[in-house]
Amino acid sequence: MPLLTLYDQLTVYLVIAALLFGMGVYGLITRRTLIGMLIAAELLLAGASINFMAFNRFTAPDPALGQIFTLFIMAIAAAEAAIGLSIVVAFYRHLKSIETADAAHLKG
Amino acid sequence: MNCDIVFLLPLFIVTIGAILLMLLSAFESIRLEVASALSVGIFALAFLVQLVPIGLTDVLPFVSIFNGMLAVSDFTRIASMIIIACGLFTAMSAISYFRQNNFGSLEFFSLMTFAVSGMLLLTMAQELITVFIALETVSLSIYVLVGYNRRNVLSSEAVLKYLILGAFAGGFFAMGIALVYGALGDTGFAAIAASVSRDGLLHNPALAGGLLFILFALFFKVTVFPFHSWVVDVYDGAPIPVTGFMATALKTAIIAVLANVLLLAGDIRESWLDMLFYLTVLTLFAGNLIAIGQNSLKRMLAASGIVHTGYLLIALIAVSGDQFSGSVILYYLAAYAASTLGIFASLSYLSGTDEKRKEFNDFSGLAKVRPYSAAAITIFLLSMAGIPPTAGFMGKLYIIVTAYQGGHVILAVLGIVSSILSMWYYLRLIIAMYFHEADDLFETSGSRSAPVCAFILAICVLALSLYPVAI
Amino acid sequence: MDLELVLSAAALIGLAVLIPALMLVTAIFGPRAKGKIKDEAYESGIGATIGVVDQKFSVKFYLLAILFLIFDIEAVFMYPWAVSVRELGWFGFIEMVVFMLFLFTGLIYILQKGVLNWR
Repeated sequence: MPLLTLYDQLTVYLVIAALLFGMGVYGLITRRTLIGMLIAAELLLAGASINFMAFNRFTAPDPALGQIFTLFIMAIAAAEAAIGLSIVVAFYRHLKSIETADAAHLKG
Repeated sequence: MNCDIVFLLPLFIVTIGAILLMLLSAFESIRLEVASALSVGIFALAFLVQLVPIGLTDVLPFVSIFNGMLAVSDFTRIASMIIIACGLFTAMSAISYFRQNNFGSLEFFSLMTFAVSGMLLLTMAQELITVFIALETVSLSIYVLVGYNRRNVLSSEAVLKYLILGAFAGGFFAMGIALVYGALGDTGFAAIAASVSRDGLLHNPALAGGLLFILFALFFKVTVFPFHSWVVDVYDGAPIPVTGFMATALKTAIIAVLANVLLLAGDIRESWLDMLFYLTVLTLFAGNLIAIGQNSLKRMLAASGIVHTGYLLIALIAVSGDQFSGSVILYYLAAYAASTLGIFASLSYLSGTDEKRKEFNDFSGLAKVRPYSAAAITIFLLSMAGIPPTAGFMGKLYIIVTAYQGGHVILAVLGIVSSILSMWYYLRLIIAMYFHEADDLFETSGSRSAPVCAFILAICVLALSLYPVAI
Repeated sequence: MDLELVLSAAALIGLAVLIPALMLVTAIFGPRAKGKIKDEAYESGIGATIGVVDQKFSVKFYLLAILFLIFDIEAVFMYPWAVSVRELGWFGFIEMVVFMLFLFTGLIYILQKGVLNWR
């Protein structure tokens, strides 16, 4: 019965990471609010982090590299979220809204 | 060992300078002009240190500490020099710009210096994690710079667009690194190159997929065809000096990374030659088509930046990988940076209060009122269009000759065709400036630094065309 | 051994299926009363909604939260250093001091800008 040994298999973690990444891409495309899009962007990075930890645990010869990079991703995600939130606040002051549909002054 | 510190000194100078500027702006004890002069001084010092030659082969400074994460060579040195010069001229022209656009503050120069330090790291990085961190350093600084004018709706919209798409690209980049790490257990360029030349790229699907993700993220940053749509809006919304800075320094840094990734092992490029070929062709023509339809000067320049990326891609495809010096790419980057920065420096003082002059028609008759500014802009536009005797012409010539010699005749021909197409929108501004009557006085703030900047760059554009390059 | 695994797995799956199933059944067949008071969320007898939910917070809250986020995350880099502090020796210590100094300049910036002054 492999159900209880699932935690010890690389594939499981890769699937979870891929799911998170897919949710992130889906969210970025379909979300209509800026906070939602920022959350989706964090999901992308979370997917990458899980992939890193999984490869680090199961395949990599040098066990430190993946862990360190996951820490870096966490820090960078925090910095990105901070800047994103402050930009959203600045945007809200203009338009009193965080809907992307209201951001239509620039036509690309 | 003693030399190692000299190789990394520009990076240290710029980083420490950025932190100093940040502290000074916290205490608000200096004026804007002083901050600008200080950052110009920092860049000038870093530029002077960077003049020390390194040699064509890669040198790994402080291997025991950095573990081969960084490598310097003449290629990274000259790319760094271009980036530092971009920072210098942007800092100079920004001060004239802030006289007429009342949102300048001291942090602007600190953020710009931080961005330059990230870009310097980007050129030297020999490993994907370092690339990611440097890329995010640059991106985070530039997000803030793009949205610097908080009172302007267009500016905040531009930064939102850039932030969301940039976060998207950053996520793809991180995922790409994760896949490469899973495939090889290592993220160094050397390990990737060794694996690809041993087994081929497609032997390892995780490696191929990961590298594809990484390439897409980098393509997004340099606006290659399917990822180009953000650039027009973001350049339009950003303050003029920031637009010039993004168009030149950022592009130089990312092209240096692309050159490092693609050319370190020729096999990586070989595997994707078809994809790169079609992307190049589409980039050239998409950029031209977008640029022809624009009425706003900034938007036209943004779209023409896409075309110049196309030329750089031709060079990336065509230069030979085994004896890579990158001279053709660097020459084109320097020529493009000089002319683009020049035109943005001119716009910095000519666009008036709150950037009120944006369209082609707003510059009608500039030559009658301000003949020297009009002459400088004409030189920059001719250089971007590729008309002799300017640096832009020589850059395009070198790239097209390289493509021809490398057997990519179609790309060479398409490069010439695209150059002819691009005349349309560059000459439009020249015609507006010289053959229309002036109904505007083109008053400026009286600040001399941006005009001086434009003057120096105009001389650079002409002088660079005399500089010989071995193909 | 195998039987044990199968049984425990079956128990887990059984729980995971059974509990939602029971909840569903009671939701469908159970009796229910409707009314204004019944439909309110249960808040221990206190009126369910006190004040406005979507009230505006001062931007100070966001600033503090963002700053906390950043400085909190930076502490994460000290954990791997703390684990291997003996192997890294003085070199690692100096590296960490440099890192802290950089963080400290950020803190000076924040203090000078008066972000932490609550008024």
